Amino acid sequence: MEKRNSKARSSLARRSWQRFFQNKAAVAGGVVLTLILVLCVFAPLFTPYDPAYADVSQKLMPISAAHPLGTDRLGRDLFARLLYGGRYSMFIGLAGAVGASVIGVVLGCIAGWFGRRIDRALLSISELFSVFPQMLLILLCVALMGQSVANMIWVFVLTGWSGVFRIVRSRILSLREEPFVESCVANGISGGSIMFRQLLPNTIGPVIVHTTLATAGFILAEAGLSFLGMGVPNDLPTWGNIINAAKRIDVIVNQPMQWIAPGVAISLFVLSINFLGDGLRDAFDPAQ
Amino acid sequence: MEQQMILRVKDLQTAYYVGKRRVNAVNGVSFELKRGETLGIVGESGCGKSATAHSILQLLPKNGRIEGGKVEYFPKEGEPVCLSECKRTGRKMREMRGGEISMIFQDPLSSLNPVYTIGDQIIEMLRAHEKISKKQAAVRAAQLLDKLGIPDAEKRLRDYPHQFSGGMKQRVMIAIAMICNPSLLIADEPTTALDVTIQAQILELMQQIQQEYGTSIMLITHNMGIVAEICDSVAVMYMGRVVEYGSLKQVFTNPKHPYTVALMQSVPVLGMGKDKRLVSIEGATPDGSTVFKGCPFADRCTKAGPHCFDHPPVETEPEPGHRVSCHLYTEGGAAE
Repeated sequence: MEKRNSKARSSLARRSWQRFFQNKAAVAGGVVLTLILVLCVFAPLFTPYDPAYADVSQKLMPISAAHPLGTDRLGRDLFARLLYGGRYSMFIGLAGAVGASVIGVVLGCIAGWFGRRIDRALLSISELFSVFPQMLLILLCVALMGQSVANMIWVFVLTGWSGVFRIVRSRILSLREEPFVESCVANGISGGSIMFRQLLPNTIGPVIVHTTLATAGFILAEAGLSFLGMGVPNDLPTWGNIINAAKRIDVIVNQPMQWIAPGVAISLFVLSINFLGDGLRDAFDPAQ
Repeated sequence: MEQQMILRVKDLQTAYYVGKRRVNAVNGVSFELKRGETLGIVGESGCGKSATAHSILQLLPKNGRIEGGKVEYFPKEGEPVCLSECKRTGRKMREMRGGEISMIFQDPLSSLNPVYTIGDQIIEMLRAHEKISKKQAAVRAAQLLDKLGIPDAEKRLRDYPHQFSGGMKQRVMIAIAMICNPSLLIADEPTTALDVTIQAQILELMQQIQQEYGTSIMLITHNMGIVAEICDSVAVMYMGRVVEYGSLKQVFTNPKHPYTVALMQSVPVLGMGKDKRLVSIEGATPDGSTVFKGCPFADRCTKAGPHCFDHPPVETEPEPGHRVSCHLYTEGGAAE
């Protein structure tokens, strides 16, 4: 009886987590994601090789105990490159997504709360960014600013904030009319406090989901750009760069591991993060 | 000695702008509220009751504007504050809201933020007005909830709004409104969304608060029964005007305005004879943007004469403190 009672009083967060754990795909996504994260973050524990060290005598080795995924044309250990590359890819994706979300959330709050001219101006700017083909914009930015990890992240932040912006803005627009906002105003709470402390937490669910999905999207975009040779400088082993290095017909035919391994890594990571994002969305949807 | 005044509204005019149309929501409303008393404002939907309340605290939507008149608030100590001249989002106005005057709303179900515990929300209101630590604030919140009849108050502070019933939520709303011990409580149809037994409890609670803290209450309602139960004075509103104003006894035992009479006849009374019919008021409330040449109620009034359609009624005072805007009580009025 006592236990039932404590369950009935459980917090919103705990109930959301319970719902999350009932979603098998989401949990699987979470597990795979954690696994990849651990492997990449603690890469030195799992591989003795330096990803940049080229040992030409060992080039194009097949799968063996010494080289779990073989080596590439320059004799670099593929497994090590994959793990260290994951660090860069994930960092770029995550930093881009979080940066874009922060900008989107702040501007979205401001636009939704103040409305009128500020809203119209910000909305036009965001539309400008979203109607312009993202890939083209990225290529343009890369061409202007040059290739580097920081530039890559900047480009993603600049092109990615409009999605979160519109989610938050539309949520705030509808929340603004809720009676509890009027009640806050009537009780002397200031506008800024209502905007960021009362309304923002109500929008955070979809923002978290969008951020996870955007992370996956940016990792794909990074891989695509690096594959085109427009992304991160070649000497950094991102997943896209690894595939880029395998972009030759003889490698594709004779050393399939060169492109299958990074391809699988990207696919697994993106898939698991998508499942996780979906699970989070369902679990934290306050309407359920 | 005259009782101390707490709120004086004088000739208040509020208009909403919808596109190019101008809707006069409040049209020269005047009333006074004395310290520790309850004023009831009654009228049909759309007669400007809520607009009046929102004008007092400057909570009007962006397309609403106070066009004239004066709202004066008299704090316990110090100078009277002219609320209608304060800046809408200014610091002074914010201090008044919640601190001196607070408001409870019609719909308790959606008047609480769903993502915070009710404890957080009560504490937030308290800390917006007083310098007090979170711990102390929590203790005060629990004490107040306990007083307002929420069992196990300390534990329930950690609960979310969806874990409360409608009546309990309204108690929480009252707690949020009362936590800073305001001198005036504006209740905008506080019981409309609740069922009848809970309504009675909430009203009782409000009376109890009034006795304990000496809070003045401005109660907005369309329920004559509620007014009869807890108000000291009554203002009957029609089309943004106060058509009749007086003490509860004056208005209820001796209603002067045909609209007040009609309103009272349209309320069913428990135990009234089966053969008795409820009287409905003919016609519908006119559109808000209509400009009247004569009395706005003339169209629907059973006693209206030709004079009523051409001349606006003047306020008269048939007995001390009892004011009526009707041609029936002015010389050369509608009677013939």
